Amino acid sequence: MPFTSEQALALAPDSASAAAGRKLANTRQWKSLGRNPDALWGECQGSGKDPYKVEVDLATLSVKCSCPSRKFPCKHGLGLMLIFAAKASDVAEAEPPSWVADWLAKRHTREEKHAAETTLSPEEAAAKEQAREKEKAKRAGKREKLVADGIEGLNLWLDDLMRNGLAAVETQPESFWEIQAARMTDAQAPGIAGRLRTMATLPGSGPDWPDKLLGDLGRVALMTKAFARLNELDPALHEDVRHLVGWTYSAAELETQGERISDDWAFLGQWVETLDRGPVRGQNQYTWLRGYSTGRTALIVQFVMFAKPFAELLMPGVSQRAELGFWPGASPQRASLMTRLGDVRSLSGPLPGACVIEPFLASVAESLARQPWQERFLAVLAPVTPYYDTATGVWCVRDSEGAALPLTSGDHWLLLAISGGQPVEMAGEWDGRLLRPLGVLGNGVYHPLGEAE
Amino acid sequence: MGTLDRVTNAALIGSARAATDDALPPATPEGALVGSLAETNPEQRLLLAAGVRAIYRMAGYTPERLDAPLEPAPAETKAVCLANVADLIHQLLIARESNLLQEALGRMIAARLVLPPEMLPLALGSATVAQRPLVAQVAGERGAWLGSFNSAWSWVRESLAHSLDEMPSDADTIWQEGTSADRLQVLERWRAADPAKARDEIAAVWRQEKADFRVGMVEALADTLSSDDEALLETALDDRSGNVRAVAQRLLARIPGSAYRARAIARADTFLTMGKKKLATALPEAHEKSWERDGIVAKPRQGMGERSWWLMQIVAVTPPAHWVERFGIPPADLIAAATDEHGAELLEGWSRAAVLYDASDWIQPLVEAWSKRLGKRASGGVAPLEMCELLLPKLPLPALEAMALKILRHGESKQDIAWETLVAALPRPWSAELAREWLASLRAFARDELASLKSYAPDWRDCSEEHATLLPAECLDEALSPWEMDEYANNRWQANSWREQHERFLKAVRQRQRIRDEIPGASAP
Repeated sequence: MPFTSEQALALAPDSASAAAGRKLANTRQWKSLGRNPDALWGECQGSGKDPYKVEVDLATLSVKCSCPSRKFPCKHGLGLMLIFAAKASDVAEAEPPSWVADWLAKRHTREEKHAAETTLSPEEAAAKEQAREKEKAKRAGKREKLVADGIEGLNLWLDDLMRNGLAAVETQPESFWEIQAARMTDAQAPGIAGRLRTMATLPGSGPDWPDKLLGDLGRVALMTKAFARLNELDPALHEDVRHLVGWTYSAAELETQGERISDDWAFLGQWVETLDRGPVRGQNQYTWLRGYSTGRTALIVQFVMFAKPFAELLMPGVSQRAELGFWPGASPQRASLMTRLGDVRSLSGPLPGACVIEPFLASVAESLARQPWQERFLAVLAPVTPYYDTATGVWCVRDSEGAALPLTSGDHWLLLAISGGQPVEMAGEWDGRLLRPLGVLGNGVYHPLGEAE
Repeated sequence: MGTLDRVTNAALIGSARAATDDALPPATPEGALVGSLAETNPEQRLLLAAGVRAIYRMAGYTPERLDAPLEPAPAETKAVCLANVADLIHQLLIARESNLLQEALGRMIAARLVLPPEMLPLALGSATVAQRPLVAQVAGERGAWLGSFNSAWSWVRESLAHSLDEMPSDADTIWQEGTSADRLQVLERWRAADPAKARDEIAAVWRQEKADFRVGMVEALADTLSSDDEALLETALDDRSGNVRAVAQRLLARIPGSAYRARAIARADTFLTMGKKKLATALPEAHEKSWERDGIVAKPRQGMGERSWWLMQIVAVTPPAHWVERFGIPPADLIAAATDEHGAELLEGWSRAAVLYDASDWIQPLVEAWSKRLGKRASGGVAPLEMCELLLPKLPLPALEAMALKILRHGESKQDIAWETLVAALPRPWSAELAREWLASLRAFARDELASLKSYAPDWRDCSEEHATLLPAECLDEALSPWEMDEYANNRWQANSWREQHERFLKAVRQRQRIRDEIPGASAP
């Protein structure tokens, strides 16, 4: 079976959908069920006269359903996946009925059409490309000037901040940060704007906030210096600094510029950050992958406005052969999913590239030496034992050599329950101070640990 | 750390107030680095140094050392249930289906299954107080271990300890220092092993305990009650707390040959005499203070004369067998002979006494006598329905079922005890016979009467989630076989509401069916 119930439930847009999906995870509610290597399908009796027709594409886990729900995936899709996850034999192998076959065929032609649009005659393509390049260069020059001006303003603001002292910012209103962040957005440097908005949450957030804030301000100052000497940097770091400031890659650019790596990728974990400051309200989804043969780590970041579904369905706790496009850089980590090449399979042990804490920290140091602005690292640790000190309320994981990393604030009962105090393999995201658990292998089954449940 | 703190301090104060360059001696890596950049102003120098320092720190993070990992959870002694069972339990937990959950957990316990570890935080976090003893058993060793880290889950270990029969090794310490619940557990085990020791321990602490705990201690005597306990119980009759006295009275009544019984008989005898086929009743002239400790309260209930009230209570604490013996006629004849103006008091007294003394030969005639009075209520008298509710659970099951079956077959008449009252008194689940008859009559109703239903369906045609839990397991299939009814014949809301209830009933039956399908039957231990 390619995924577990937990993983299917992690796809639910909210807890109400998850609960509704569970209720439908009962073969008695279904008039028909079937699958072939590409898809699952079924007919679920709803309140209407005709049953809803539900399909799940097994390669992408995208769901299509004839119900009118705006939730995605809807409860019928979740129910179908849950039945399959609980007992694959409940969904028998069958020839797809016409409505499923139509859908699969349509998806196929859509992909082909997409490919056809991009095929032009060589002359046409060259001419179009030339015109595009010219336009692009013009726009790029304009943007670079805009960013440079913005950064000049930022430096004056930073000087001011340091003259008055950080003690003063604790009483500043949010607008103190927001005004400067908005200026950076206007200057087309959204990377820096985002960092300023994160900084706005720091004053007064804990006993070490001055330290954290100063560190973050210092990193931005270093970034502005690096940007001022962009052309002296080696090409990879040049790219890094550009996207730190705010340049991004379109899918088409990644096709041509990015490093592309095919591997069997373990989708080790995912978490969602809610952005509720500034003009941009939405969610950032961080998904961590590691390749089994290459050992490469990839971070896929997806952004959506408000609480809409994410464009690409990425399910933690599975593995799949796929081709990723990495953003160019000195320590490339950020990636986009280019093509899925194989079936989705449930993740089981051993986890790729697991190690104890000291070598993991050494790899962090090495990576920082190449690209010093990195904020997050994937930690795949084994063997480690979760640890909770009831007296102090401190959570951490301890490796076989006695080294320990503290966990993010909050409770980690699921992690503790699954370990039972025994050494486990786990994945987490390390930010240099705290480890955010992303998943743990227990009894041969990988359990994603997220906010989903 | 000294220089590092100086950088933060300098940043907090600000360069307008203090010279920040002092914070960056060139001997430090960041000082040297920044020095080489020859930046223009001190603010920039400080910021760049802080940035370099933050990255250095991140790269040079030194983990804490922990001497030892946690003591791991002991291995499970029972098998972990399969994913489909875990899934089902999960569903019942989040849907808060407590009846069904209870059944499912009961089956898991009987099959010696425990939940997988990943379910434990949810199961422990959502268990209600009533569900805790069951949840604790399916939480297994891992659950008990996990619960020891979270004070909100400490009940897991406690419930498990209580379900063990053996005496804890620190029983004396628990008895001296434990919580009330733990102390009563210890007391119960002492009582089972050595009744006299338990009695001595109670006597030793009697005076210093609170009333609630004294009630608990007296109740602990119930299981192995003997005449050796009489002295202690007599002391309890002098207790300040009415609750303590009530428990002591109940237990003394159960000891054959107790002084309490003798006192009750002696007291009651003077008030009842047999004339010609008719009992003659005299009322007590005054309330004697000594009666109070035996449970005869001076102050009457509202609407009742005090002398009638005393008489009723005097009869209520007297063994009913005494009257059969004294007058030489069976209970039914005695009831028939109680026809004078105090007949109602006698009937109530006998009913309470029959329950107190478990006088099974009295129950049926008393139920019959009260059902004749249903709907009538004398001022100050007790409601006949209330007396039926008191007596019915003591009625032999065939008699109780016969009354229920009669209503199903012929409908409810004015002389019948209400269906609802019978259902409340019937043990659950129902017998297969009753369940089948109920299903058959419900089917007939759905087929023949629903289409023309114009008012509420009568009580015995009700079906709900609750009814699904009343059916014995062997009748579930029968409940689910297709129902013959015309969906569209009657669109009145009464019929629609019945159909909705019926739908919910079927849904709950299906869930019970699923519980039985998915959780295997009991395995040999």
